[in-house]
Amino acid sequence: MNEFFLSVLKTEKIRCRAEDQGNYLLYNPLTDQLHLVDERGKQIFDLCDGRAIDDVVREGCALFGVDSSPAVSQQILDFLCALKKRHLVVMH
Amino acid sequence: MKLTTPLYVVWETTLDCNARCVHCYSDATFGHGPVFWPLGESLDLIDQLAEAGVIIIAFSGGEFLLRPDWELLTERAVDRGMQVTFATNGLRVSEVVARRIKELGVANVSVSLDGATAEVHEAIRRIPRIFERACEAVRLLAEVGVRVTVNYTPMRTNLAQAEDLIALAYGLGAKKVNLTEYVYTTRGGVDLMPLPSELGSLIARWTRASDAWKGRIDVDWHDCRVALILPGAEADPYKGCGAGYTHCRITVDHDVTPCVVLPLPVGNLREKRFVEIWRTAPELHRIRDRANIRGGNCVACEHIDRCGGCRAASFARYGDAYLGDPTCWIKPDGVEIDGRLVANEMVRS
Repeated sequence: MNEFFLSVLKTEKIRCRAEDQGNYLLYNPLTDQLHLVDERGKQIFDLCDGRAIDDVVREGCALFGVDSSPAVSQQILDFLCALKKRHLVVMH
Repeated sequence: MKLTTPLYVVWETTLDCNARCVHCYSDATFGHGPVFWPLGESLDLIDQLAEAGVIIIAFSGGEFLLRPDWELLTERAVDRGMQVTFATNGLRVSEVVARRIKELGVANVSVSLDGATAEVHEAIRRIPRIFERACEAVRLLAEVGVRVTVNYTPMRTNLAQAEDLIALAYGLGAKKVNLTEYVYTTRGGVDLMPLPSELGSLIARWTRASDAWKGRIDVDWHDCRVALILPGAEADPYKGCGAGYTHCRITVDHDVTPCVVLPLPVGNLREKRFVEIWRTAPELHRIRDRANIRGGNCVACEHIDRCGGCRAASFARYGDAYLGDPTCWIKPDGVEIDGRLVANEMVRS
């Protein structure tokens, strides 16, 4: 993914709401779709403020308490891809 | 997915209306007069909904644009961070109004068009030239950049025009055309309701049209059962009956009801705050649990958990929201005889 995109930014107008059991609901008004993420997913989503994807991965790894673990890095990249596929973030 | 508060709330802001629709679920009436809440109370409700975390507020009626304070209500809801949408018959939408709607930041305006021709639409709406005015409203709103959804309610008199309506909506600049099933809660009678086989056939046509129009206009639906015939990710699990779960209605009488077309009060906002009603009303807890459906076609259906049937249709037909869904075509709640649905129970006896 890094070969094609450098930065990641939340899509405009995404609404985020706290739900029970530490989950968060993301609502995309453009697609009218709902997405449920856990606390960690919400934290990574919040990191998507236009910063470099590599930085999101590095800081995401820190959230998991590891230093750039390949497995965790891949999980975070996969999560970002899922957000992109659902039009919750845009990548440049 | 469990939700702490509804995703959207439909607020019936007035019963005054300038159309005379045969199927109105609010029983709004032409020239009804200013039956609506005072401004202060209205703004307080908006604040309550925002504080509860409601994402979308849908101003409904009657005709919302007949309220003299519609701009103030819209402004407040936008300021409080909610997505604002409202439905209109189009009669009050001028170029000036369209621009004001855009300025206020309304996310979506739904314009009702129940036919692709004046003859069909006006037989339902019963106002001369309302078809022309509704089309003009869609065009004006789209031109100033407001996202417009054309709302289509299929009844036995307009089933044949579904595809033509999509083409019309696209030509006028709408971004979406949405099918909302007809439930005969108040003014409209059972004779307007399509038979299950007719509705099933229409939905099959509609979902095919959704594919055909992809990339040009969103062809969507609000129907509890459509998710059952779609594969994978398109079959959004929350597209089953969301009464009292994803949404609710607030009436001009201050009642909270589980759904727009389910006139079953579960609490009154003159007695309790919205969030308290949402969290504690026994009837809401009851309707959220599919295990409380105790009869009819839904109870033995393998799709009950995802679908739940239309509780409003059950209430309309049987006076009980926990029985069968008479509009279901997947597992019909009766047998079609001479153009009518005869309930299974009656057939057996």
